[in-house]
Amino acid sequence: MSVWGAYTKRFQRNMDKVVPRAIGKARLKDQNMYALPTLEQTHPTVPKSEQKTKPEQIGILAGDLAYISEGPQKGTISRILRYMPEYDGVLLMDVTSKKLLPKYSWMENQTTHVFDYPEITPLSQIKLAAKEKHEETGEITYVVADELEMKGRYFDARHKKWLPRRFVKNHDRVEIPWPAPEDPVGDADSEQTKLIATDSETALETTYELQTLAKPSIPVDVVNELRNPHSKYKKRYLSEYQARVMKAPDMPLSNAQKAYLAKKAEQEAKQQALHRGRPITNLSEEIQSFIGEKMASHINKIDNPHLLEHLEGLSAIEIPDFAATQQKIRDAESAEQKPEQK
Amino acid sequence: MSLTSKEAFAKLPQKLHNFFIKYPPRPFAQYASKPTTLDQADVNPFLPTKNPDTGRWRGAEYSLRRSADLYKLAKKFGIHELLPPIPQKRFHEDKYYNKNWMRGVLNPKKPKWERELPEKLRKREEALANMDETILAARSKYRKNIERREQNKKSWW
Repeated sequence: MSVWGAYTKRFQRNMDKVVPRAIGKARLKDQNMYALPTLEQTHPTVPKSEQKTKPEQIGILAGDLAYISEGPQKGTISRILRYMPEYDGVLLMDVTSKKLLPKYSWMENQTTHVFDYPEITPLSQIKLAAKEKHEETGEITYVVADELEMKGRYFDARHKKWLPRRFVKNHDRVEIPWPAPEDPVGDADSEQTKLIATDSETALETTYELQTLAKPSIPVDVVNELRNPHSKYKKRYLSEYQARVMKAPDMPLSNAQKAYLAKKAEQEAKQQALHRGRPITNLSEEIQSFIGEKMASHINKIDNPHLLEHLEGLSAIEIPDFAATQQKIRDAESAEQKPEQK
Repeated sequence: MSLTSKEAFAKLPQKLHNFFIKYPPRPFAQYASKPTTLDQADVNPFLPTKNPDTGRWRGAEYSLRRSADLYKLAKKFGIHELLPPIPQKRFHEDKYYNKNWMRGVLNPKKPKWERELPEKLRKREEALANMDETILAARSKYRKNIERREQNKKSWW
């Protein structure tokens, strides 16, 4: 055991020290906490990881005969109805007890609360039994296998699977064959199968084969018929109700907030009137000629052709901001003209 | 070839034209040469402004880089004086000749021995010049040495 495994806690139970039987008892107590009277379980459940599922693990199948070796019915031979892996026990035909059933779980044609219910018999309390017929006299005797031994494998046509051969331990000649299944699996002739199952030919019939991944598997026009084109999840707009739900309500403003907002609006209006609100107009003729004269007097003095070429290049540069300003001027002019027209 | 004022104005770069539409040239509009409050009419776009209501300062509308770009472009066309003043920046020759040198560049500190070297050399020269007096003060017999040296002194005649 590692160092970590040896570490224990003062106020926590060390599960390594608890015996499995005690765990089973505790689990049983939990299971019966809410059970109805007479329907309490007497056998603890087996953890799923420890449950037996294969016939060769269990050694018996439904339909086998069992010799009860312990309990009040010791010595009787009965037929196994069912193996229950969660209890590692079997339901036997002759081992039943009277239970009180609530009305909601009554069977058809049931008239009383008292019901003969099969009791679980643990696998440890039974032994596999088999009938043996005397070849000459025809007298039937029973063989009880104290222990079983599995040898070899064969394909069982009735069960439709591979099964080992069952022998009484240390008696290689005494083979106990597996019982026939109650409902033969895949038997096409049985009525139950006819009712429920699909024909093997129908099941294996190939009606469609994918040819290429490049093309859609169904015609494009069919898509809208298969899908709901009017689905609310595909709509690109919200309904009035959805919009109302998603939008937060406008909260009423307090007096202090109103006063603050009014003051702020006033300040902004004042600033706009001073700077931002100044109407943008093109440069007047006077200013244009003033700038032009200054520029002309400077450029006329330049005699270097390379510098003149450089200035030409600078003049030709266009900037988007200038176009935006011109647009603003045009908009302002049109806005001024409209009221005049009215 | 001499340009007329109209022809010359047609050569005004869009950058400057756009600026002059927003901020008319100097004689037609006045601009403060010091940072002002927002409510004044002569707000300089190249200088920060203060909001008198909130007491907070707002950065200049045109950054140092953009203002320098405008100034240098305008100077090429000879109209840099029409822009609002940019007192915080110097350009071209003005920047070169009126450079605000660092104290350490003009007067390097130097190590201590180098700082004290001229004084040391002066003292040494002085001591060599007054050597006889110094020795005489310590040793009176040295007077004879001085007299002998005077006698043996060779003259050109």
